[in-house]
Amino acid sequence: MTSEARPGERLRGGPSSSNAPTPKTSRSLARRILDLAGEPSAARQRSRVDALRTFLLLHGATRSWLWLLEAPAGMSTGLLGASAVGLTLAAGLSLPALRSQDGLRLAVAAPRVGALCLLAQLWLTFPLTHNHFFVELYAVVLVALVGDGGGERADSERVVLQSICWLAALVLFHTGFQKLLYGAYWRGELLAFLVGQADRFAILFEPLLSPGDVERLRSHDAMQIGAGPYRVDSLLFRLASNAVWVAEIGLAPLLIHPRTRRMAVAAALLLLLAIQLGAREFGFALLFGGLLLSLLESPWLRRALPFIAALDLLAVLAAGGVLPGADFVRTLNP
Amino acid sequence: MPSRATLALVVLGWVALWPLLHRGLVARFEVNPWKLGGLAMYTTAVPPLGVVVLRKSAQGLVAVDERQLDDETRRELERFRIRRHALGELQSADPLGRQLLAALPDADWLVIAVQRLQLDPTTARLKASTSRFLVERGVSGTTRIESVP
Repeated sequence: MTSEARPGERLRGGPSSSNAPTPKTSRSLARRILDLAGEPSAARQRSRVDALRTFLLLHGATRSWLWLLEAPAGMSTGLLGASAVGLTLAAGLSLPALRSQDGLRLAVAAPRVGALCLLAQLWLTFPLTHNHFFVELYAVVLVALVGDGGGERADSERVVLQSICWLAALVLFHTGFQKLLYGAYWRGELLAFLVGQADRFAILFEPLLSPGDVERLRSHDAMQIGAGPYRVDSLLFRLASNAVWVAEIGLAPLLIHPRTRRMAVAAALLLLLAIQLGAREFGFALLFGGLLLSLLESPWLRRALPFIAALDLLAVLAAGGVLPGADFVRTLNP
Repeated sequence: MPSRATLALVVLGWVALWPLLHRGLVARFEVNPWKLGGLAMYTTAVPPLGVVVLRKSAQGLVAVDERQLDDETRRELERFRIRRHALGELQSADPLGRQLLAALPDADWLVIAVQRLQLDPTTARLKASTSRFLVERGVSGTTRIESVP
């Protein structure tokens, strides 16, 4: 993987660069909003978009096969299977562009095929569709905006990278803002409820709680009217509870601003990791982690692709019973 | 043809606004915060919905034993339970009502009771809200009622 400019590509800021900032007076409102996320380096943007495209389609294909292997009764496995095949083919079409420009035309078409498959899956799973599926759909639709003409392509790649940055920031902001709106984080009510319900949350928060609190929370029956109170005295526990939404809301604007982005990506990845210790929503974690890596100018996502692809393959093989670990894969909530 | 920047902004505008509209749907129609892409997962507790069908008998009003229902009716009941948990008031009880009347031909009327538990941040306890729907033979659709007849 190289981060150098490809043949025929001009460096950022050059006299005829297709990435040269448009004069302020002629920029549309849409362009001005997107430009708040900064100008991606022209030398690296194609490589970043290629990696992002492959990552998203691989993720979608893997998730689809995992869904298919766990399809609930009543779901049309024919359509789900067809969409899994479609996403796998789309992921395959995106691969050649990682190595050369010869496959670019097909690669550009791949997310459009992927988006259609995702829409079919949305139709199949609605209204039970996971939140992270919507994030995946938005990201694939945005990546499908890449054009295949010369100048048009460079310009659209910039739009895509800026849009993905906004998408990640908006998702992070809203996940925090919604926690604030529902009011169950102020005194740690929701986390206390989760400690009472699931071992993984109890293990995670045990160090912040007294043994008596853990025992009391675990004794409540979550199907019982009046169960509770899901409240504890531990100041550390309350701080941890509020730190979640504060970090989510606070990191969002830092992701947008180019100067703070690297730090914000690192902090958001750490936050994601910390949340996964309890939530274990690895489907979301892998997707959002990949989106965060794609925001960096350095080719972190591209470097990670072989490992992600290997993990994807292992997950599908385990879920299919070829390898051990099917039960573990089921807990990943793909 | 709108520019790609405009198309991207339309998508991002949706991502920015939908969670706020979604919050309104949760408040107005009891939609599940974890569903419909509102990015409100892990905001509050949403225990499974309780759905009970009541019918008149010699002993008064009794709950219908689900195990006595035919497969199709049980499937419709489960479908209602799942969809109502996700969609709240946006999921009508009418299809279930029709199916129940067909499955229980000797019942003149039935009540579908839906109990929803939620975490009350004020008391930090689970509080319940119950919706009841009257299903009457010869009457189209279900009628929301405050208490059982």
